[in-house]
Amino acid sequence: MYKLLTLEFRKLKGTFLNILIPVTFLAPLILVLIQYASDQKTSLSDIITNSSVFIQMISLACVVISGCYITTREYKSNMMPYLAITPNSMARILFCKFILLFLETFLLQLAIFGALLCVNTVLNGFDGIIAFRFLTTGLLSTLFLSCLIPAIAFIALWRQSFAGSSIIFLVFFMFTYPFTFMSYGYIFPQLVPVILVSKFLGNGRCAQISYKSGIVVLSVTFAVFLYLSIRSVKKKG
Amino acid sequence: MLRIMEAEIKKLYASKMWWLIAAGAVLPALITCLSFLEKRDTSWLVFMHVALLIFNVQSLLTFSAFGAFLYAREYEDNTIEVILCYPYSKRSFLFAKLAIMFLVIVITAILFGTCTLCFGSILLPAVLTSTLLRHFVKILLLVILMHFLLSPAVFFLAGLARMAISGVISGIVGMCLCMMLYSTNFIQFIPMCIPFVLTDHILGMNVMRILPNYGIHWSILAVWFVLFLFVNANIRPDIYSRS
Repeated sequence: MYKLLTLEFRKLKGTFLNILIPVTFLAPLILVLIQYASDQKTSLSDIITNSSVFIQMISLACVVISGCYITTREYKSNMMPYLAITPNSMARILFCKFILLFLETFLLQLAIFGALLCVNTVLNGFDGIIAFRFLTTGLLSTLFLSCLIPAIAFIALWRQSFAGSSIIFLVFFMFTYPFTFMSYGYIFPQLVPVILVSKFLGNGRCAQISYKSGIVVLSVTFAVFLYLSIRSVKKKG
Repeated sequence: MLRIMEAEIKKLYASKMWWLIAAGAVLPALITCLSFLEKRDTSWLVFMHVALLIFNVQSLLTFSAFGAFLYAREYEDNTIEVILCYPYSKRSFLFAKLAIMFLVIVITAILFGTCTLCFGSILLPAVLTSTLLRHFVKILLLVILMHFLLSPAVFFLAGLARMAISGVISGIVGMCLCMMLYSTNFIQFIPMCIPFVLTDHILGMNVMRILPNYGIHWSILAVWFVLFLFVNANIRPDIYSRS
């Protein structure tokens, strides 16, 4: 298992993900700073709270793109027959990809909220409450986004195409995005991480949905798509 | 040229990407309708304003995803070498794809306009005046032009990355820029955000603060179009050999 995970890490070397991840980490920071520079009456913490939906949107887009790429790269490079003859089950390989994506999400969220915390500390001084809130947000965001990983993998396995699967997921997400601010927004599982994290950060526009219903939707999504993706990979394997 | 366009349309038909156009046209109107479900006493002007804002933001993704798919699919399917064996210049392919893109934008905008008017008529008790209808049609025509002027940049990105996903990424970046920076003054100078900002102003809502002279915005879009059209048309020939 450890060796498979190391292999997956090595396969990332030299891919476009090496550019995508730093861009995803820097984009929210730059956008928040631009807003702060143009309107210094609002505190940085408030700007981050108001922009929480977009920060999550950028993170989700990155997780979807990397998830689809990592899941479908063997199909694209016609490596499936070679992968199938190794003494590792396809479910185990898929599980390693899930762990890799979880680690990537964790590091990305930690980097984004850590950087926002650093900037806030430089501009307004250290505040323990804000530091705790940001770090907890990073952890919660990782957890919520990770619940969508099996769904992303399932769509990628179904389409077997990186571009096709990421376009389907991202376009569906972006087209349903305005439902984030509606009371029934939680019926779209891809919106739930955005809603819950924004609510936790204090964004009033996302306060209508309870944590309980959001977590239930995410748990069901995780369980259903985990089952479906493992079944799908076993069938193809 | 017509033959290339016909081939492109057939390829698109086979790729089943038309759902993107349908979704890009119907969803903004539907979302606006759902937003005003509990506030039916809204005026037509406010309804159209919200619909146009959502359409302009979502169209950044719709058109850039579609444009990138249109331009990069030969790279992704590894058929670019085959395509280049035909006795047509690369510029013919570029202009054919641009013509298809224009058609797609026109169809999406017409569908969106029809859906907005239908949903509005069902939902709103107020009567739509002919002056407002004419104004809405005029804005839709301008929106078509503005989104078309952004297309060569999408093609350039797709050609550079050789992946359709570049269009989705640039669309998402554009959407985030529009939504995060709408309260700032310089959003009007970002080419991708100009349709979003200008529509609001032409409709007379003035939610965003922009310069009263639209010449600068149209100039930015024109320069953006000409620059990327020129770059796309003159891109170095060996770019295909690395596919």
